[in-house]
Amino acid sequence: MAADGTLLQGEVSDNPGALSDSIVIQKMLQGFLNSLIDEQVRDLRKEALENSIQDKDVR
Amino acid sequence: MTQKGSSSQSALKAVPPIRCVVVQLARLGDNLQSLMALRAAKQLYPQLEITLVVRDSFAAAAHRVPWVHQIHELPTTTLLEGAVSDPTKKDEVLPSLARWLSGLVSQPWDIALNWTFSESSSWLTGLLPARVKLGYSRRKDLTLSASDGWTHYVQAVVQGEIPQNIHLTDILTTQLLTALQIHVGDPEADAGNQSITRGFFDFSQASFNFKQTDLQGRPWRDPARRWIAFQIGAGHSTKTLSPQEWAKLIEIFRKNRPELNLLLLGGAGDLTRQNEIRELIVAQGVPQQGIAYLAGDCEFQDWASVIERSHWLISGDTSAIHVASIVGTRILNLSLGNVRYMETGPYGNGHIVMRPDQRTDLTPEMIFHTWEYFSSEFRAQKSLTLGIHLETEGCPPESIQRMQILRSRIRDADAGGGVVYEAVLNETLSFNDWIAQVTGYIARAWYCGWTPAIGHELSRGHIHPDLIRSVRSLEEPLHVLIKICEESKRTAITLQRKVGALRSQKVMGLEAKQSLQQQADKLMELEQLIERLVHAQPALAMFFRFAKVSMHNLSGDDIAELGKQTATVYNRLGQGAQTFKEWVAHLLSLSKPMVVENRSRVIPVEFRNSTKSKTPNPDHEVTT
Repeated sequence: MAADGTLLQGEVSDNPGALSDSIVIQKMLQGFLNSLIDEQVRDLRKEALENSIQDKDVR
Repeated sequence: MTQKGSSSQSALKAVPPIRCVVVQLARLGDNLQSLMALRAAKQLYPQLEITLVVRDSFAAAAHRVPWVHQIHELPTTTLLEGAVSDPTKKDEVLPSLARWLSGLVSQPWDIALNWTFSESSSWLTGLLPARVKLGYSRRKDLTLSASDGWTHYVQAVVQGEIPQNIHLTDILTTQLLTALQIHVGDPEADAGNQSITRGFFDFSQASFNFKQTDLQGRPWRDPARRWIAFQIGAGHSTKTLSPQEWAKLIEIFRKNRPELNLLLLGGAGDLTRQNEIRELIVAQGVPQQGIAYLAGDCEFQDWASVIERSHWLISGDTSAIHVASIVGTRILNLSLGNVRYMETGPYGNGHIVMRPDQRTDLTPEMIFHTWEYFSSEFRAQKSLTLGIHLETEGCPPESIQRMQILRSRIRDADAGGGVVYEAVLNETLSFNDWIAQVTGYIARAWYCGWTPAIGHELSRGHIHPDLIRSVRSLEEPLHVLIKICEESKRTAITLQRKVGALRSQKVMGLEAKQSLQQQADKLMELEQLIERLVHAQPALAMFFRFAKVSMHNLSGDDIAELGKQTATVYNRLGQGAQTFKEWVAHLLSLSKPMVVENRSRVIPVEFRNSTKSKTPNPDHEVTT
């Protein structure tokens, strides 16, 4: 058994349901979308950088 | 959403299913490690009904796993196509994202598990209704939340790039199993004997066309021939060999072991690299018989089934090593570039990791001779060590000295379980590797409640003067750190008591407010002291990062509760620092000279005229 149960049980909700506050939902969705886009842009930049390095290697 | 069938096992036992959604939006390697952890949980809790949320481009592995209930694919590229190039189109994408999400929020989950540990996944997890959430999420005030200990560990230590030696698969497995134990109870006594232990992937759909011509005149289905697979690409060119090095390695294999079939593997992006390797091999006049160039030619199930059929996989830090770990193919992992093999290396018994101190030391010759040694291990071990073998084969002694070669082993449960990498060449331990052992040990003490004896995997052979010097330099800072943690704990308790004595926590006199402010300021000063201490001694960085992460995740509704939780955090940090100090003392004790018991015995003299052959009695000294 774990040493500290309270620290291992995670975030517990006795009555879970979809978020009811539409403003919170809207903001969370926007946060999700913004961070997805940021990650996608970062991946594309990384890929472009990697390709340019490989081009240099080949040359 | 793809539904893959219902859990017949749970229906038979009439145990209600545990609806578990797992958010894994990272790449294929992370998906595979998550699947390994989920398999362990599914074996012990067959009633787990797992829904995986994955990016569509990395969903192939999950589709081949029969015990995953549903797969919810995030079509990242098509969904974000317009918005990535034109940020003004974000609002147009939002309704599509909401529609995609609707299938995940209609019914509460028993467990929402976010194993991506990224910003985007925290927002998604925040939106999911669940009785229990583990991993990054968002609170209603939109701040980042990491509510459980193992998530704190990932955030503070793993993502903080602090050396630690617990494999990610073990972290994920322990996190989930502990939560299940808390919320569901112990597994059934006969759990673990389920059929999913037999096969991980379902390769019945594998359609790879094993053409005879692909192996240049050799039949594919020749059971007498062993296959060696080479994963030639990697996420970054520094994490794999150059085309010239791969070509040389293939050439050496072909020359020394012509009976083997050699298979080059890689994704579509590795075709250029493969063509270059092929040209180099052909230019060297290497016979092509038994060499197959499969990069870019395989779907996931074909690629994975080729790895399963191979006897060895030679690869950098790629998802191929996770596939091989799952299907039980031995791995020679070339740990190159910015890679932490202790966290993401091959999982299982008997895999080999080569980690050069200097990149130029890892030559194709060194790789081949290391593989050669381990591929005929029983024969080799009887006659010579790996170091002597490499030296005999002409590898430069200075390169051998600088090379780390390790073998993986799954620890026994009574030694803590999990995978460990043991040095088979150059056993001396670096300071960072020692720190990794201590950090992993402290995490187990915090979150598992039980640990084996301190330093049980250390011996005198591991230590050297540089390590002793570095470790000794930690004695004083650790002493100071323990004092700071004690003082912080006392201050937090004082704060809690002072608040508890107030009639109201919101309305109070000026004097009471100033008194509380004093305690709060003192806590801030003590935290700054830890920061300064860590700045001077970076080996203790985990404590500052833990303090930051834990403080951010305090969840009390009032000042008294926050004070109480703060005291708990500093108590835990103090215990960790105390454990660290015990590790220091243990290592320094190993370095002290020991009285060696004289076990030599005097050999009895045999008298010339003795007619009987006497058996020497080692317990009797002979005087003449």
